[in-house]
Amino acid sequence: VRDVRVLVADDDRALRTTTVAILRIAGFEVSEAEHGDEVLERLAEAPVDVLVLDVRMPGRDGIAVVEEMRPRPPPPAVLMVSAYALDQEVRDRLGSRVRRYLRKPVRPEHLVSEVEEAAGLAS
Amino acid sequence: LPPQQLLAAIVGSSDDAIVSKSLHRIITSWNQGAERLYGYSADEAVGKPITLIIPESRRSEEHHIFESVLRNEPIDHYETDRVRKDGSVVRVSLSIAPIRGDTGEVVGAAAIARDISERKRGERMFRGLLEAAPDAMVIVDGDARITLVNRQAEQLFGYERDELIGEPVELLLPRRLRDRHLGHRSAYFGNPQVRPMGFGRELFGLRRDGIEFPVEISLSPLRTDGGMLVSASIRDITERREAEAMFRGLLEAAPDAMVIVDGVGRITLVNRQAEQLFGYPREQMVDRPVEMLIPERVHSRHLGHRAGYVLDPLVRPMGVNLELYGLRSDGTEVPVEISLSPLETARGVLVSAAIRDITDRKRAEAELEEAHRAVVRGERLSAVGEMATVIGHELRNPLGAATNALYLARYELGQVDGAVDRHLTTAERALAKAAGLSEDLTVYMRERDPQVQTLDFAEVMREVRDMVRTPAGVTLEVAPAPAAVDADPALLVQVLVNLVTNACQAMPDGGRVTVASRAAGDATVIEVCDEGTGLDAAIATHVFEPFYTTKVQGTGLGLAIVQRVVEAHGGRVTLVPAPGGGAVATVRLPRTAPAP
Repeated sequence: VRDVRVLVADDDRALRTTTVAILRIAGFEVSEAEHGDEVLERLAEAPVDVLVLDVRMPGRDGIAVVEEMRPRPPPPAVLMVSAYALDQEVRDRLGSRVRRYLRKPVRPEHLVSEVEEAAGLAS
Repeated sequence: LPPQQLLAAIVGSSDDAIVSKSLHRIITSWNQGAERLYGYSADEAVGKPITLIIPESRRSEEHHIFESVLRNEPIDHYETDRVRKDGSVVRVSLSIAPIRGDTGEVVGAAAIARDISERKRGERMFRGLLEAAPDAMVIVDGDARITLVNRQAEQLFGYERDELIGEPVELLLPRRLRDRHLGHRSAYFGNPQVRPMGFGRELFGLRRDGIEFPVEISLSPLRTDGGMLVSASIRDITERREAEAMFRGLLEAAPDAMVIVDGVGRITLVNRQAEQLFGYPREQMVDRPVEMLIPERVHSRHLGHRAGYVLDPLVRPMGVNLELYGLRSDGTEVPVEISLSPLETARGVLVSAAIRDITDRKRAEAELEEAHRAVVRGERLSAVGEMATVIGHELRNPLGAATNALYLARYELGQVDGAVDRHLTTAERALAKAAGLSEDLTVYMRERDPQVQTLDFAEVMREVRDMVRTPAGVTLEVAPAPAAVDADPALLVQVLVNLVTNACQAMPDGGRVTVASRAAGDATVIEVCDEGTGLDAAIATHVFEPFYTTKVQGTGLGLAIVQRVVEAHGGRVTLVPAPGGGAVATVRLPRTAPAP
């Protein structure tokens, strides 16, 4: 039912691994990356449906990742997760390439439903 | 009494020596006055030649006088010498008149002699005193003719004595004042007493060389045998006038208001700056108690201080460490700084007070202090900002991880109950609270300009009521008749939620929170009152500082957010103990939108 591919990108290992575990329990096919460069590598290797993307990471941050994503293959739906609300200016620049902005800490139930929605599973 | 006897009685009782003599210059009568003056009894003298009492040196003179009298030329007040029985010489003033027989022919002469040696001594003493007087003395008779002057008067006016004696006193006055002086002097003769001349008018003398000079004159009447004389003591006050002018110039040039007060606290002199500072023209200050310039509440204290100062007058600032205030004519008070110094004068010690309006300085000090506070607050805020960044970023990840881990733990455990469920629940709540703290911080640090619009306060409070979970026993009341308020709706709701939450937390045993709003001029005032334990002054000064909290469950940011938001609206917020217990938070927001 859930052959949805989710990539979780966060440099905080504890947060990343628990998030991955929760999404796997929810039935998604989950991979992980710990910095922006790795995200771009993963995206180049295999298609991803939903990208749970932390803003602040070493190297390329979440914003740079979104800006550098190739249009082909079709980029994943991006759920941008951050500690702060992002500047409106940044949001305007990223536009529709980001599906949703989520504030940390995101409640697990909420994250699951957001991923489901992003994957087009929710009605 | 027949005329003859009457005359005899008068002659007998006269103090003067009255002696009559025949054409042969034989003494024919000798009264008691003559007995006293010359020392001979009537028995001894009558029948003796008049030469009995005439010294050798005056014999020929007497002869001439007698000849004149016989020629019907009476002698008046002629001063000469006579010799007494004991051989001493006495100075007399002599008047001699012929005595006529029944048919009118001269039959002898009557001489009235008065001992003037005493008067002479008095005159000499008087003249000595006159010359020793520091001031110019001019003595005039009833016709205001000069009868006596001293050397000082000669020097002062530049005349020789002989040039003055017998002249009208107006000679010594400037021409323009002479007519007026005539009136004044006749008035003085009508009511002569010792007093200064002029009654506050400026007086001038005129020198022989035509130069005028300012004088001070004191008058006193002298009653003499020759009628009333008036003595004028005249002082050249040119130098004093110059000194006064210089003093007045200095006084007026002083940058401070100057008020000079005498020993009993009466204002004697003020400058223009004092008029401006206190708002009175000088004539309304001079001669009035200095307390008119001092707020009433400190009058009694000032009286004590003033008395103390007169006893120990030193140059010193007044009221060290005290806030001093002056009282203006319009009843307002002005903060002042006062420096006192004693002035030794002929009228005793005067106290000169230099008074400086320190309104501007006080304001500048307050502004500086406020600026300093703002800097300190700003520094603290930027420190808070950095800390918030750390907490926001570094703490949110572990918070998220912990939340996730709990979620996973529950998943792995499946259905749990009892102690495990309670512990997990406790951990979940603690994490939720930590998440709330980081959220508060984010709100606090998020600086955005308020989007101000005119709000219906009742509507705002409905939203607040929905958002605040009032604890059991606490009721939230909104006072009727809400006022319109101009604010950013979301931010105002945040402010009120925080204030109401704060009020609820102040009442662990329950009570009532009342929120009222009212229009106050060009502002809207919102008050949030509780019935809690109140707060003491030490706490009240800190409640708006970030991370300041007295509550176990507080984050210390609720009121800091309130202040940040209210100040961003250009408003003010205070939290003070309420009069009836509890506390009252007052938010004052300016009306920025025009009233509907």
